[in-house]
Amino acid sequence: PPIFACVHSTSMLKAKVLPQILEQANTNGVSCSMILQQDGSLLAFAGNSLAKTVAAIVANVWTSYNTAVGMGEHSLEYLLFDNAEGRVVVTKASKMLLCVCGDDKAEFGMLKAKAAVLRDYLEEPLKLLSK
Amino acid sequence: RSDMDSHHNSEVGTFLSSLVQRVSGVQAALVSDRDGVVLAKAVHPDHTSSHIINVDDSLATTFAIATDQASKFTQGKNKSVTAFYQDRVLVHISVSPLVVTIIASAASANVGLLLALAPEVNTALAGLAKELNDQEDRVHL
Repeated sequence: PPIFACVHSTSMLKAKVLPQILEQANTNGVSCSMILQQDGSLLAFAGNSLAKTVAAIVANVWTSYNTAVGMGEHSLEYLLFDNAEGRVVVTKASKMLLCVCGDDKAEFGMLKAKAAVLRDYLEEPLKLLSK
Repeated sequence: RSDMDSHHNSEVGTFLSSLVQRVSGVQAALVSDRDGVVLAKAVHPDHTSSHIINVDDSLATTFAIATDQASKFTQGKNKSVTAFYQDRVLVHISVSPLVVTIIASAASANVGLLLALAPEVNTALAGLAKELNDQEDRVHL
């Protein structure tokens, strides 16, 4: 699809393309997707306004679990939150965090798979941003 | 806590042992309070190396904070947090005021099954949780 070609063929990342890519994950119960820095600041998001509330909290909890004693420090790959009315999956992408939120009809496996696909697509472009 | 109803405690111990044995990949399961004080624990016979048995108290506090924060996602109350590390999976289930910690091998754990068992975990720990909540209420009266 043209959007992905646009991201990969330019040496400068077009930041406004990010929300469009994230938006493509927002189907089948996914309510919002976002990319955030590890300090909690939101880089891009698509979906409902949940994003800003979630971002700061997610970064904090990620750091906490990533440095948890005895689990393999800094080897955290995914975080899954099971909440009464929805689910959230977080994974790392380059030096940032990718977060996919779903309602209670969105299964974890699907959210995790979407996060993985987004991460794989964005890994290279996000590396440009980290430099 | 030293005068905890021993009936509830041994039921919980039995439940944890059965969990460790019947779900593949589970290395240890423990119940603690939010400060990490362990109330019951079961370790899989294959995994008696010290780094499993000595599950750090801080894990429970990490979850205690995380579950409170996650409950602010506007998705209602947080029920569990699952962390996938390179070699291990950590599942934390909230049965307030208790924290259930399950540690499993990343290679062999069926996380879907563990999460599907969360309601059963809640039921098994309901008695002990109520006991603790009642004690808290009595202390505050």
